[in-house]
Amino acid sequence: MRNTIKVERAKRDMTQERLAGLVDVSRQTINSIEKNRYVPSTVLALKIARTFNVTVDQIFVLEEDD
Amino acid sequence: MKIDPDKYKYRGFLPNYFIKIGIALVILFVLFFVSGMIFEKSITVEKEIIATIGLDGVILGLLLICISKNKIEDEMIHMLRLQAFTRAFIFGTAYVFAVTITTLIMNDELPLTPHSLIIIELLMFIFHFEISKRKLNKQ
Repeated sequence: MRNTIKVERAKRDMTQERLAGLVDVSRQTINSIEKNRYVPSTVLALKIARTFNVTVDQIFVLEEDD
Repeated sequence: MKIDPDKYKYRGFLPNYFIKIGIALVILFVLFFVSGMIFEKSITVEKEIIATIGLDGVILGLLLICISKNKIEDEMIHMLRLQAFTRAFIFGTAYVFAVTITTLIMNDELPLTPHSLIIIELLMFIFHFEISKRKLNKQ
């Protein structure tokens, strides 16, 4: 599964630290999600989507091998 | 932005400051254990009692370290914790098998006490958990 968190952050000029604070996780968690090392829970995915004011499937996209 | 660790309500874990209490307990009981062994002849209490109390204290300290919350306890830390617990449990099981096999091969009874098994498992948990966290911080 790939995601567009980095792109969405860049559009809003938002740091990982800032996003982490808004969704109540650590900066390392956001970094791991961006690098596809960690797949977030549904709750966290929804929180991230809400922060960017988009839907979850606009940020998280399934790939062929998923 | 500063993150308030109190927001993360992961039940069953102690507040972060219990890590320091755990470390203090480990140091205290290791010193107690070592001094008990050194001054064995000058004290009236049996060596085995001192060893048992010392090891119990070390186990308690290690347990406090293991079940204390991280500064930021979020879902990924929870996953790392679960992975570390699993690895520690597997290592503990392997340790039991290794001791049994060694005993059978060498025909000599090696000590497999509950204390040694639990201490090894707790240490392995701490080791794996800290390594995982350091890898994350290096990202």
